[in-house]
Amino acid sequence: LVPPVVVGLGVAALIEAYNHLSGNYAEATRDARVNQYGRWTARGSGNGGYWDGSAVDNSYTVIAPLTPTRLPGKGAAKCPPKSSRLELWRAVDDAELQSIQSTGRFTQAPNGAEVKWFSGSQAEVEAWRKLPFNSGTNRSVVRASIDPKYAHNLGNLPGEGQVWTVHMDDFGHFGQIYPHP
Amino acid sequence: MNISEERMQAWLEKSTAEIEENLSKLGVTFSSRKVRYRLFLSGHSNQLLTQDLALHYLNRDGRFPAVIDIAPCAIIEHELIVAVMPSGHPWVSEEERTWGGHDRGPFKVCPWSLPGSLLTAALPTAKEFVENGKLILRSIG
Repeated sequence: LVPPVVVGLGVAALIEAYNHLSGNYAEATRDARVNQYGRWTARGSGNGGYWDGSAVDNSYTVIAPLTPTRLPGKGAAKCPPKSSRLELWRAVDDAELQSIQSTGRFTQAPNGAEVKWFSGSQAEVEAWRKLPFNSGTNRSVVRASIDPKYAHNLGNLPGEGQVWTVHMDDFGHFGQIYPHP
Repeated sequence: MNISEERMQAWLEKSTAEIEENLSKLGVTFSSRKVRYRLFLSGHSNQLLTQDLALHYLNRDGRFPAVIDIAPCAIIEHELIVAVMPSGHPWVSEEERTWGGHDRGPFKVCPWSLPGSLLTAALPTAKEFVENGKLILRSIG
């Protein structure tokens, strides 16, 4: 699901963030992977001990510092709390893309639907876009972040991965919406 | 074949039974079999509905949502609250055009619907559903 080069970059950013924040030196002992919440996670070791963390989003931007699970010395104390933002992805049709480009925000879905659906990662939104139910519709991918209290997790759905909904009353809590090539 | 109210009721009851079975695998069981529905359609999400009323709102002159995600979202006073979330897809009148066709109709059962801020582990427990029940009661008054 995730190309190896992407995993490698994810690990590199994760370690860089860890070293920067902790003042320690560390190297990865296993590849990063996307967890059930659509976040990168990785494990490594260094002069600060072992650690687990979720530190970078799928565009390799550091969104959360590591949360060391066993880190003696200076590293643990210097790590600030986890980021409160959740990165969500959505495949939109041409009309919705145009609406986003003109208003800068998501607007209510048609036919009275109160929620919109999102994926937890780029790989998952691509999987959703390819489902038979969506055939014949041109869809573009966008991403935006939001406080997790406004996003409802629907669990892991077969063929779709982690799925989230956001109520239309909470669309204003999204940060900037970015188109994704 | 055209969708009838009886078919919608049968599909909804089948989906609700599947939800209860999924919850029992998580160790979440109920002393009563009472279920209420939170319908995310045209402003109805500010109420907790009976099955009959939810089905009433899902029928627009014989047309129904083509896709409806349905998931356990809360426990309030020992009752299961089920989120019913019609998609924005065009509404349809034929069974064949629904997400699940003749067997399941429009209903797509999801594991749960819980705010990300309440999820602290891979699988939720009864505690998260009770906590979300408090949030729902606060939001709908």
